[in-house]
Amino acid sequence: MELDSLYQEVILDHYKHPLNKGLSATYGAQVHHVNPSCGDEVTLNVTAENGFIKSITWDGVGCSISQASVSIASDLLVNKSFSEADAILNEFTELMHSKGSKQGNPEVLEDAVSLAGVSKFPARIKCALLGWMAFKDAAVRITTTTRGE
Amino acid sequence: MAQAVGLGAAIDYLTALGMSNVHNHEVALTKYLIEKLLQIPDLKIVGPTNLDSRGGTVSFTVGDIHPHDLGQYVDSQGVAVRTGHHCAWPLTRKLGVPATTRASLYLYNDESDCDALFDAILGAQKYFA
Repeated sequence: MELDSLYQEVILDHYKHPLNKGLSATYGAQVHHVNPSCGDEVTLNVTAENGFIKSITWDGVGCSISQASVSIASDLLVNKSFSEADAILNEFTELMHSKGSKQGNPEVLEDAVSLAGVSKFPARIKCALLGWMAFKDAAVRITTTTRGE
Repeated sequence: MAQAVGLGAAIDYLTALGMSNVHNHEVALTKYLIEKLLQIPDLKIVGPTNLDSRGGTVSFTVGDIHPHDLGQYVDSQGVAVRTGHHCAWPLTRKLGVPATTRASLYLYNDESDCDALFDAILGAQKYFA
């Protein structure tokens, strides 16, 4: 069924058992992103040390795609440098806009390749990108202050 | 221009059918749908379940299944519903739901469409369990 390419087992698993959910008490940057067209919300806390991402915690409400995607991103991007995270984020964004023509590189994207099927459902791409755009925003805020040093 | 001509044709069509017939069909079908939906465990209808103070659109939630996931699933089963805030975000906040799923009945719908929605919701409950 076409639907199974959207709702991969890995996605439903992240949705039911999200990683890093629950906001940390302290953070270098906190962002709150909302998708006004559907109401999905995510709050993301990012801490950094010596140019590396030390922790990503989050809280949110939304559909399985948006929530699983934040869970995957929070696990994948932690312990990376900001430039590494940026490269991963660009690769993921490219995958989301591939209209089903790409499968994604599992060595770079790990569990995030399970979201490849989302690119065939135009209305759901914004769901998958919500958490990643929130991270991008938080990363800019951290790296433009001294808190990422 | 095209819209005005289209509106005229639509009015002629509905007048020929008889608006009271259209209304009666919609009321009977809404009753059928609500009774059917209320059999589903975890399904909550948002709005009145009596027929005195409602029209043929029925909004509901199904347990913890997010309306966008539910809508995607029932779409895959050939049933078209609308999901989201329905341009009433403050109301969904007030109701404490992230969004709702909404079935809209019209004169071209019949009981088999309600049955198809019912089956699709049961399918979604299994799929997202």
